[in-house]
Amino acid sequence: MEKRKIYIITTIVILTMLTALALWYAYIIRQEVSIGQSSELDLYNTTQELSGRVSGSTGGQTSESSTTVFGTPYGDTVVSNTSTNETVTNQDGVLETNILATEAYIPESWSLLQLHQSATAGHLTEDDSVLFIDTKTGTLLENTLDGETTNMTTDTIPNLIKSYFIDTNFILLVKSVGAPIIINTSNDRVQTLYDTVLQVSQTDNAIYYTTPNATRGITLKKISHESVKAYDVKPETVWTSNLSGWLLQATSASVVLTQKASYNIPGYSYLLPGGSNKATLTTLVQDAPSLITNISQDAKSLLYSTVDNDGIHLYLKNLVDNTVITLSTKTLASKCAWGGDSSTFYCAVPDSLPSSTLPDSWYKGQVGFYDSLWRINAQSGDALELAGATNLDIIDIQVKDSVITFKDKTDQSLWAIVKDL
Amino acid sequence: MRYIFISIVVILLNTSSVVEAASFNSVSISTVPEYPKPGEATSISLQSYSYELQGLPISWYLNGVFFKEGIGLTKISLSAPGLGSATSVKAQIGNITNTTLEIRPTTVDILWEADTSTPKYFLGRALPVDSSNIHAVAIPHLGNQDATNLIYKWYINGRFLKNLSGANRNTIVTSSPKLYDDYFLSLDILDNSGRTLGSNGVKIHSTEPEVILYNISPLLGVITYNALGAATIQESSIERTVLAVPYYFNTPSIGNLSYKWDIFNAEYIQDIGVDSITITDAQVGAGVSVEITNPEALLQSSHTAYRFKNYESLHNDTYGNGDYQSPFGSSE
Repeated sequence: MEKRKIYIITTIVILTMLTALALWYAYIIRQEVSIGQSSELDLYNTTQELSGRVSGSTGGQTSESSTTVFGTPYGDTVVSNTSTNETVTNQDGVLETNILATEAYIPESWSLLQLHQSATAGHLTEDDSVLFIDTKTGTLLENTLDGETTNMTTDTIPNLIKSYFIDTNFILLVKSVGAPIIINTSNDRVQTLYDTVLQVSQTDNAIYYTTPNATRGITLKKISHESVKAYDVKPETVWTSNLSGWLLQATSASVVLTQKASYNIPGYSYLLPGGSNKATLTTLVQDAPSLITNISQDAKSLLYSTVDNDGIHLYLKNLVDNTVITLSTKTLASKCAWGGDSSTFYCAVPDSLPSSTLPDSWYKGQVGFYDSLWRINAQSGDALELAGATNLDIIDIQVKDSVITFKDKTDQSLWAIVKDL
Repeated sequence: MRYIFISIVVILLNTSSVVEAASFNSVSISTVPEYPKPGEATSISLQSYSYELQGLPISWYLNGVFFKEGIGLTKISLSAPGLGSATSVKAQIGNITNTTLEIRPTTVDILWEADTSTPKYFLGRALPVDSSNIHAVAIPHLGNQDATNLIYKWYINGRFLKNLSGANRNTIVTSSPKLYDDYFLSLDILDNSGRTLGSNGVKIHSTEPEVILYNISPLLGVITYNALGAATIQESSIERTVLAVPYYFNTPSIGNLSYKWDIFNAEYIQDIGVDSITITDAQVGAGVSVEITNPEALLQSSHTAYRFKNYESLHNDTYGNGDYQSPFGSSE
């Protein structure tokens, strides 16, 4: 009898434990499904604030995950996250979704590398190497991301301001003295560009640049890569303006023209479709204080930042349906870069913001930032910190699969973070 | 701010000449706001001095599709269509008359910048100062409408700028506000029949000129990404050439600016008209100050100062534009 009692009790205990185990497992599965369902629908019905070091969406539920620690080049990084939601309609009738946070991430480890200690005039990120131009000497170098840097050219080109890689051979060099040149580094053949070049942006098949015109404004010109490679450079006028203060960013099908920004002064941004001088400007953002823009290469999404008395604000605009999402990431849009398409972007986020008028004081070199580098999913709002609390003021970010390169604005040195395999 | 044009077409269709005459003059239709923005909530209402509209059945149609009806329903609300689109709104008042209006939002942007100095590759806006000029450009967005031969009427604080206004005058150059002052630059655009298509306005504020010091590197050129006083960069020698960069001085005067340099604690020099100065190793611990003035505009003046320390601790001080303190008085 006693044995039978013990047998029954033992059976009950085992069944209870199995039930608890099953419930726990079901809970875990549900959490994973919830994470996997971070979607556009979630985003527009709910909002997530990127307030933690890692964030994502869980269908609008507010939740707090456990703190996780993983290694970074700066030591261990604390990973945590929270979430809340808010969806509003702005004065233009545009739906604005404030991204509030959540959880879930796959642990990743990235290593920070300094590729070049001296000032770098421009760089091109390849799959397993980075080509760059040393500002002091004008020489082309290659770093294979394993600590090896090789001189690819030996000729010195003085007075270099900036360089733009057309491909691995052809490079546009803008100098403080003399006309800009396009050099073919494989044979040292040089083509001179008889224009003063102010701003440059390029696509896979063309270079766009602004040059001063006789009316005190600027002319936007275009050079096809094809003509460069045929040694037959003939700049084609695309657009003219009676104003000179424009920044440009070209995509394969259009050029974004944004007024130069100043603290709390309204700015406008336009899309010039098709690269045609007869095309009509389409407004992207209007009347926004301290406006800075950053369009994705597929021209489907636009990051833009504003600065007013309340600080920096970063927005994500869907250019297909014109919805605007307010991101809680506080950085300037020029400190971000898009991934290969409009699904992911990377932002250098200042750990603290100086109490000065931005972006003017930053442009003038009067203030600088210490940034962390984040990867953000444009659909779900999931954000992952790739490098935390650096002492770098990150600019000119380029993304190539598992390699992200950038410059430190303070001394123009070249850096990379590489995903550890 | 975006400003809008509504083309209002009133079409009265009646069965008798008596009613036709009465209805044409007696029912008006209007919108609030008068020029709705694209997507803006807009109310449309009927007014009549001839009919008691409150007692009449009124049916509303949007683009020919029934929308609402009711006895005395003289007011409806809707969202204005997007830029380049139009919404036709028709009100049928019993079997007496009907009236139609078309909402076709348009906008005009006013973009401006000052004709003041900034470094060639500076990414920020050129700002207005006392005695500088403002360049303003109007960019109309009329959808599919013809944007040529528009009449541009410009105003400053409501004062009509007759000499700057007229057909195709979409760009103007005018004086900036006085120092620390501001004004409201506004614009109406009209078609060649005199109909107002839209308007806009923007507040413009004058700031003060600024001078910022940068190192000139023999190999790198001017280090404009890092102002003296902004960040500590360890260098092996104090010897350097410093460039004074004038921000927001009149561009046409840029070649005539006066530079007054002081180097103190080591030796004293004064130089006029040179925008850079070389500090030698013998002047370790020295400070340098510069004042830039525009002899063609009395209020365009600015000064700044910077103290060099020794090699090991190149901490720096800047005394800020318009808030000058003599480095002589500081104890380092």
